Amino acid sequence: MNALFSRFSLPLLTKELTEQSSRGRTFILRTVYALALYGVGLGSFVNQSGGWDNLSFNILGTGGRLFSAVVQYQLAAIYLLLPMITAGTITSEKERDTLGILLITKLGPWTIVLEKFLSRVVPMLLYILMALPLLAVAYSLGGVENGQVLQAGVILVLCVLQVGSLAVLCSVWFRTTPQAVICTYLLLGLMHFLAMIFERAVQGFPPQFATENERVLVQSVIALVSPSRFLMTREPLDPSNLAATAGLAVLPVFFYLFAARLALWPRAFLQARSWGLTILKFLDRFFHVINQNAVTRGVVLIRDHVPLPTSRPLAWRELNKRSLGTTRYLIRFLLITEAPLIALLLLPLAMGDVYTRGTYAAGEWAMSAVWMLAVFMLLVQSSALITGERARQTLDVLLSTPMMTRDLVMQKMAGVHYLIKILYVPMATAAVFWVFWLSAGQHRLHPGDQIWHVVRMVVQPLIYLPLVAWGGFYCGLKCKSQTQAMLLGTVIIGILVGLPQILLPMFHSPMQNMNQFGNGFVYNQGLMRTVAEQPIIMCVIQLLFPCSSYLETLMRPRVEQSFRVDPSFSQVRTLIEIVHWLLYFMILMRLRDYAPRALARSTQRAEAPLEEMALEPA
Amino acid sequence: MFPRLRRKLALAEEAPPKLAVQVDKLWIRYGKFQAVRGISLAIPPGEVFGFIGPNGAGKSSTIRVLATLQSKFDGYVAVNGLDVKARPDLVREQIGYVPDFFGVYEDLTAREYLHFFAAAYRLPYHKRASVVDDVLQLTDLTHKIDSSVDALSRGMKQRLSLARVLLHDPAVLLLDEPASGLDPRARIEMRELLKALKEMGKTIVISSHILHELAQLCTQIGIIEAGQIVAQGSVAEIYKHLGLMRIVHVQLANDPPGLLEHLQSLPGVTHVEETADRWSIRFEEGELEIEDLHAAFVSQGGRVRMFQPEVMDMETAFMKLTEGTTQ
Repeated sequence: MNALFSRFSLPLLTKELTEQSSRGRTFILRTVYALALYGVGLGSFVNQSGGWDNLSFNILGTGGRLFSAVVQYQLAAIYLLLPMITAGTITSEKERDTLGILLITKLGPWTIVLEKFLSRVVPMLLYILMALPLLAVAYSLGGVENGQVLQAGVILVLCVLQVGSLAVLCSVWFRTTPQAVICTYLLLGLMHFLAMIFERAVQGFPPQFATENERVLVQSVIALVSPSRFLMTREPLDPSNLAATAGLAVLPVFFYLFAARLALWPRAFLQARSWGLTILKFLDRFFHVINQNAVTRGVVLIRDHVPLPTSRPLAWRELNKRSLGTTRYLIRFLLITEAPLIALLLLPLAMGDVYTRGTYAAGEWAMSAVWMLAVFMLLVQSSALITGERARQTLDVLLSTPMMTRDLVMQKMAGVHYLIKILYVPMATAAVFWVFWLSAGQHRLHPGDQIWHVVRMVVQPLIYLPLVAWGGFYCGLKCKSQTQAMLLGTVIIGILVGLPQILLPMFHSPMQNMNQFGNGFVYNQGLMRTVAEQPIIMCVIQLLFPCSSYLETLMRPRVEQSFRVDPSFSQVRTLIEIVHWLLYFMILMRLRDYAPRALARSTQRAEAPLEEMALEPA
Repeated sequence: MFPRLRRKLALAEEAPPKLAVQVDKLWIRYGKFQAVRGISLAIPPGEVFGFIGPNGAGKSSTIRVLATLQSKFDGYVAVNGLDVKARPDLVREQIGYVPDFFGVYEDLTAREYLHFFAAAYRLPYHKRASVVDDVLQLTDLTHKIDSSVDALSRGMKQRLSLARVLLHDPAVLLLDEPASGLDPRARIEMRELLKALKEMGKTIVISSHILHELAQLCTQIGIIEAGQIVAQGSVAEIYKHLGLMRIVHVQLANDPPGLLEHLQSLPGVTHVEETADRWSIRFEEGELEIEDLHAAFVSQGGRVRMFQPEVMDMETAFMKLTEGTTQ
């Protein structure tokens, strides 16, 4: 019996779960998750019921929306959180050089992979269970079928298993946690995109199926890569079809875990390698090949020449030795970003879809993509500045030199500042198209608003991008590893961007015809009602959160005339936006001032001005 | 003429020489944990001070304070008379700090690495090339000047770290476990390098676990345990304080009669052990000089083939002084 117990004692799983439960951030994450979940539930409930003062029997039979909101929230949490907490499960062992020790024990590769997988999946399933009381409320309100509940439960579990196993595979495959996290997100995005394309290609939009069997077949194929797309379907599958589809959707989980088990030994002792540098070297070869043509004849505009450092050694290293700091690589990055961006923006125009929804959608996608890319790159770069020095064990060495702390920090940020300047280019490209669309066509804005939009396009990157950079730097100061810093930065940005999305529905007007949560048009109409009816709440949200004005920009051209904002409120909103920018600018300045102090080094009370330290080369 | 200047010069002549390192009642706390509990040190210029202690005793914390890396501490700490708390910027000009890890940028060449720190130490640009050449020569790395730091061996990386701290010619070197993880050859090279630096008049504060090497190199030793100094002084003073025995191994070409009895009757000799090829004589150094012991052999007709005093047993001193307690 003892032998049996010892065989199934799951030591790695026990250790992982114990370790997680003793971490402070686990408690913080759980609390934030629960607060947000119940915030969404409450907001949805209040909105559905028509406000606190209007609770009545009319709400009976309207649980579908609450149910849908909670399930979608959990789905988003699975896709956002699970890769982050799972992709580091094996890479952290590699980073600590403890994977080899594990492999020479009697645990075996299968046990290691499975226990590591379970150690992340079990807490995520507990997060899912957290919503049970809300789902019970939704079910009691009525309007939710048993089949929907069953299907939602199966889909959520399938998503957890698929995302978790894919993240474990990435964790086995890559050397560092950031690489594994990024790759998991990219693969998930790619699979979701492919599923969407397949879905549209096979079933059309809106979905049309000849038979139920055809529908099950198509959805089973989709479930192989993206089970979450089931939630888009209005009619739940019957239990037998659901079981068959779920059985098929489990196959990728086995495949990922099997691949992880096979790759565990061969990928256990990888040498540390800069992933970014590998990509950039590939780009080197690519640009070298396309440069060998009859027109350019291999001419090189920027030659590699790294002079020795003169007066700003850290800035020199950031600009000459870091791959994304060098001019050559930044220009290449710009080229590979600009080309698809312009193609995306010009596509609707080429198709004769000028001034219509297609152009608008392209502009919207382009703006969102550029912003996400910019924020992501800045977060990666800036969070690595101090954590990289720590990992290389050079931070103490630097701090014991006579460089002033402020100078040290400013020099470290030189590369990131350079990157920001480069990022302004694709941002300006997208903004030009955006403004062009807003100033012409059937959805054009009033001339006054057009000017204000231009101002907004200029000011937002000037404030938010440095803020993200300094925020990332500050996260790097406070966290031990880059992964933690990136996680912290992402959570903060997620809260700032996502909280208005959670808060706004709480103040919506009752929408009688809103049966489906997530219908953008109706949702935005609701927002505009809120703007019109509850200006103070909107003012506060707009003042505190960076995305609210952007949200409003998005929804404004779509709304009907009856929901237009009062012109006087528009002026107040403009004023508030200026105050918001000033507030964020002050935060930015505060971060710049505080970052040197956070290095916790003995600092003289009055530091010498920077000019004194500048040394000119002979 | 210039009465104020004269007065200053007179005062400077009368004043006692400045200590290279002065630590007075240093307390370092990390929350409730007390890493260092009121230690005091006084290291004159030109001394090589060995800091010995078990892991977690507070050696690295103390050295970090001296290196101006620790902002929160109580007590007075000064380097070359400069208060670490009040003038950290000036202290940094006076010190060279080598941590217990390499602290090198592996994407740079040795030349770039040293020029990088030459700029960080604010060396005038026109002097940098010659200074870099000098320190590379001193550390015997000239042939590696254009090699990537990544390609250097551990020993070379450590010597490169030493070259780095010599760039600005600091008066005080703070070396935290500089020989840890090095192979015997690299350790010997490191020791020779430190001897050369000692001859150049540098004050060196060094912590190490390789105790017999410290005994050979250091002019003063401080043994720290659980955040407190348990013994401090020269190696001989510590041995004397502890009453440690000295051991001499002797090989003779002949076997004179009565030699064993004569040796046992010498003052201070506590034990004479006769093995197959040698004699091991254990005695108290304060009562019998090594030279007198040698003379005793010769006077009894012994033809000495080998006379080898055992290196001072620092490990014994360490074990005797410390109880193995960590905090």
